[in-house]
Amino acid sequence: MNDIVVTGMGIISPIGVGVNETLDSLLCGRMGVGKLKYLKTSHDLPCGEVQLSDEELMELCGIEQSAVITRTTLLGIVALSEALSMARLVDKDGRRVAFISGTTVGGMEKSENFYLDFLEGNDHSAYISAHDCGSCTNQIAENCLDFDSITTTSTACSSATNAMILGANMIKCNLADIVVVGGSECLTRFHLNGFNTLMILDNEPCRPFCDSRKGLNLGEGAAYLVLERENEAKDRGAEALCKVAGYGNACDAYHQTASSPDGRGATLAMQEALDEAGLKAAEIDYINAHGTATPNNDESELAAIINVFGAIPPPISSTKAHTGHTTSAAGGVEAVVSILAMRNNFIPQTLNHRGEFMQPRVNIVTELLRDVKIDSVMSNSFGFGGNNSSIIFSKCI
Amino acid sequence: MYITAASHISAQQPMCEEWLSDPKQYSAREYVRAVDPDFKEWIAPMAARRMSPIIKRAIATSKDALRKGGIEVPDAVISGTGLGCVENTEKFLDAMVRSGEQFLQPTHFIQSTHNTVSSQIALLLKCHGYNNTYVHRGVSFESALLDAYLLFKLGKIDSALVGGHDELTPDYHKMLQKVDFWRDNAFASEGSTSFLLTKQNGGNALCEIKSVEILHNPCDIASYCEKYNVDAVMSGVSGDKQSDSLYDAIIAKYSNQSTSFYTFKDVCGEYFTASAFGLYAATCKMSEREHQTMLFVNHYKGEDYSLILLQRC
Repeated sequence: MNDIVVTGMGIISPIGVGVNETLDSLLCGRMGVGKLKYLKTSHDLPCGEVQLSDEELMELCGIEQSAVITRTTLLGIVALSEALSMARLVDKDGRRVAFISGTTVGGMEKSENFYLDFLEGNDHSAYISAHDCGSCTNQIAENCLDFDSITTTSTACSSATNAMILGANMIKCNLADIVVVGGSECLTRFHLNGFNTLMILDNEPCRPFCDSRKGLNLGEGAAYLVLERENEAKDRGAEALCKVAGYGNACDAYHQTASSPDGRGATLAMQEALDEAGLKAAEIDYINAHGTATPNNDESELAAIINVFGAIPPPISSTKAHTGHTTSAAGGVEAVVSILAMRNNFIPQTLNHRGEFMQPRVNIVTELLRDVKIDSVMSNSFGFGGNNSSIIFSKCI
Repeated sequence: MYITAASHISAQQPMCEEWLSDPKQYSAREYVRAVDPDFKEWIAPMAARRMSPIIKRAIATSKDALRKGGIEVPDAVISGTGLGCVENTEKFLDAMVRSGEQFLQPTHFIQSTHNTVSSQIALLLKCHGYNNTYVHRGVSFESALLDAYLLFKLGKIDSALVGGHDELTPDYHKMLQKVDFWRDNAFASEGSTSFLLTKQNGGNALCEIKSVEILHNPCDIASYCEKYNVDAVMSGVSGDKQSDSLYDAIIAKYSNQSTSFYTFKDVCGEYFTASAFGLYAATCKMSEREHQTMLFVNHYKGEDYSLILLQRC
């Protein structure tokens, strides 16, 4: 078999810089959601914020303080550098390497502060070119490796998973030898206010899959995976951490922001992922759910899980209260969480759950489970506009 | 994969080929809004009132392409947009900045995300198939095309609706002017171009797409063209001298053969997804059946290049 394997991971999120800190935080159930420190907003809403200022991030990335650079880009550089280094990808050695990153806000965090200048002044015009999503992706990439091709996905909260799907398909069709895939997104007032007008933010730390859940908390972060064919990884002397077993993408086509009550799009995405992986539903040992903690998402996702897995699905947890909802980066962040769980035999708990279970009752993991054998894990990412994607990682045999 | 139908709303007369014989002419660095059709034929007036130009145009060109191609619901909907739903983004952003984050309405936020176009099309067509959106500057549309190309190759779909859509508001135009987005003879515009792609030629295909490549900072673009033996080239020459000079090596490579050269940005203007109009223009030329093969080449600031190989049916 010449499977597509994961040979590198990189992550930065409210629960840590790098894979090791992330693992520690998951194992001790650290909640990254709290009072905002760096984002200047008039709202007092808890968020998952990366605990580094822009200046500290620049220093971490070795970038001059005067550089025209956005927080989305800085977060991306941190995660991408780690992923490349873990995969021992310093030199391309003639291989065709692609970078695909998901983002929705792009450079908005600067634009929302300089907007009036953009329109009426001349002070921060250099940031006009740093606003669009593609400019962030290019800048992340150019600070790390001379990638042969680069593109950006933007399907709201499933952007990073869709980046993985395109990347894996590029390898399968032999248009790339190695792809680095995931997403990056920083907190913005734009998103915070937007989600606030939709009345789907909880003013307390979120409680995914809790019957009395009130809404989500926004988060920020970046995470990437390095994907390549198993035999080529072996040739390069890169360790295969797991394989990409299957993935699915479908559209709920129900409403611009809400998910359908029967979870049609999510059902199709999960089923397609299982079919492609050639796995039976019973062979999934853990589902890292999208689980945003909005009344609508969790109800719809649970319905979809039952559609696919039957009345007794595998253990389910959501790590949204750890990291906050990192939106376009979520698929990357949660892919790293899923792979860490599988490789370290644990299931992270759904933080803040009050023991009030939704009906029908399924196995929502509310206490960290250790010594669990996970051969295959499914990670769900569902976006605004019905962009539903699901991906399965399995142990290399 | 085959291009079975295409439709455009652009600086030219919309949804027709009038531009081929009688193109509207624009002057250097002019700001040209797209010429809109009567949307009543495509969208209920009540619904249209709530839609920004990019959504209306994307829906109209999508429906037109599907109608021409005789397919009601495609297997996939994939869009490329350089800047996304600018008008709604600006409305929400402006209100947020000027009001100090108070009294905001969700309407504009809901339709501000880049994936609004693909999801509105899916909603309208009740299409539960593959759905994706690409937002990568000058290769946004080509990324969507590449995605569809891979899905066809992997046997996952038989048809796809793929489009390139951008709207240029007066404010965004003003901002991009500050960073010299349009130079020399290039003119600023916007547009929406949709394609119905199919796995098989149902007898009505306009041309075949043999390959799609996107490249970042290629050190020698002409060397990538070595493998393409073509008798026509459609390039993204825009009137911007510095940008146009980057096509010189490619033009030189083919100029000693009996190759025909075409351009499209003199017709549709320069914007991130102008290449979607460019591919449509290339398709028009190919359906005249004068050429066997055509290379489509475009770039944005020499950073991101796209190469598309077209073959006559």
